[in-house]
Amino acid sequence: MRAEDLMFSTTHEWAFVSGDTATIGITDHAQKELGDIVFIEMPEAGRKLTLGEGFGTIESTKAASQLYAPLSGMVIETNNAVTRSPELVNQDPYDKGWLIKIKLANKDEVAKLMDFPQYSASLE
Amino acid sequence: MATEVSNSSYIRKTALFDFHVALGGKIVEFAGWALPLQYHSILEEAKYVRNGTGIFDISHMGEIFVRGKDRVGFLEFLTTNSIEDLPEGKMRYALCCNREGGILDDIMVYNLGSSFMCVANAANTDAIFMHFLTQSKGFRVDIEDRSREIALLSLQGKDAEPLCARLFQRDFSHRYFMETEKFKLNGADIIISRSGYTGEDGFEIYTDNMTARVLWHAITSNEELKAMPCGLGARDILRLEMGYTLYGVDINVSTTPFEASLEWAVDMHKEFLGKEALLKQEQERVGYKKAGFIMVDKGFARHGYRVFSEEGVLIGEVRSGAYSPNLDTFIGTVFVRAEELKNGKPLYIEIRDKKYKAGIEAFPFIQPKVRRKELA
Repeated sequence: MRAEDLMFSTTHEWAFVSGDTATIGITDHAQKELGDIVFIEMPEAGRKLTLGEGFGTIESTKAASQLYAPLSGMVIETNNAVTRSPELVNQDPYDKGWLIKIKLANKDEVAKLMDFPQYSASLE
Repeated sequence: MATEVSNSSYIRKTALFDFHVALGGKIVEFAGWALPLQYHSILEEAKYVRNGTGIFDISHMGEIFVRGKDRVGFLEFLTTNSIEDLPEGKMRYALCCNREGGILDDIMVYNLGSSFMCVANAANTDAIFMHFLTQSKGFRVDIEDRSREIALLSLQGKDAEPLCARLFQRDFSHRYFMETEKFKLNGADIIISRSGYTGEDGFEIYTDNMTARVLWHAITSNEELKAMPCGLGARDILRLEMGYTLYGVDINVSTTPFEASLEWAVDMHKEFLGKEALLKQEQERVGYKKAGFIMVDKGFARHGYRVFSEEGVLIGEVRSGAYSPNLDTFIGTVFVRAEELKNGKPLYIEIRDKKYKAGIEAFPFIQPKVRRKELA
């Protein structure tokens, strides 16, 4: 995925919506702020998330940060590659570093997210 | 702990600050100093020192010189380790305790001949200097804090010796671990010791600020022998892999040497400030002790996290915690009830309301590569 195709939350998560599902990860800005990522706590498949709810923790050498659901839905898959090699999130946050896939509960929520130009502007 | 740098005018900078900025260093505040936490990746830097050679700017450390007729007796009284039998040209790790046996700082003491150089942690330099001044009544000594004029570079890794040989046009092959040398380089005074805080072979180079800049530039631009600039983040991981103490994290002023598991740095046969309190602690039982751990369940145990016994009793807390890229696991130190360290049972560290299993392990976790003289 490329950043231009994604939607963004104010808490620096991104979502790639495809039909009924969304792939979720953290932004390049977030991974830079965190530094070397060493551990990621993921939710279990089947867990239901509400928009804004904490769904896991991402730990860097410096600190532990909460992950917040940009959209509501049910977790259908977590990225095992990232669990084994957390540094993938630093290296490729928008593609190989994806975290979870969810089945969307409410597609109307997508409109509340920012697009890439809006997100980039918000960082200034 | 390191924090983002504010615009406070109280932040101090080392003589090499602009080099770190130019290299893209992520500058943080540490003990009132602006220093690089990392240049690229903390983990890559920590791996590189054990596979290549790294260089650290640690000019924030303090250098307190003690001169005068009574300098040996003075330091013998103010530190826990033996200074009387520290020969010229050697250095030793020692603790400065208060009357209650609590550690004021852990220092390195260098015997430079007509003077001793005591190297203190940045956060404690002023306190140790004041402590020395206060305690100097009755001793014929001269105490000088020369921290501001002395810069300190630490070169650690496999090419440290050839790099120093080339840099200083000197042979260091007969210089062993914890030995020191002083010489002049183009008129500048240099003190060098084969030492470091990483467990790798390495040299610590003390000189004036201008010369330090010249040396840093030469070391980091050397094409054949590469030394990679490394920051505080990597330094913390490397020292933790060896089990070296970090004041302010592992220990503080209310920790005694026995609690800190630093018995080896205490010579109970001599008189020193704090000995009475330590004798008392030796006779009664030491309640709490510092120990190293390696996580069994995968999780990041951080400073302050609670530690439980297998039976679910709260027995202490985590002091240091880090991910070790050289061991590919999470490691750290705990401060727990002493008797819990003798039963061979695992500990349980609470991370965000869940308990993660950890095993007590003896340091060092990595085989040291320091160059010791072969004992005949």
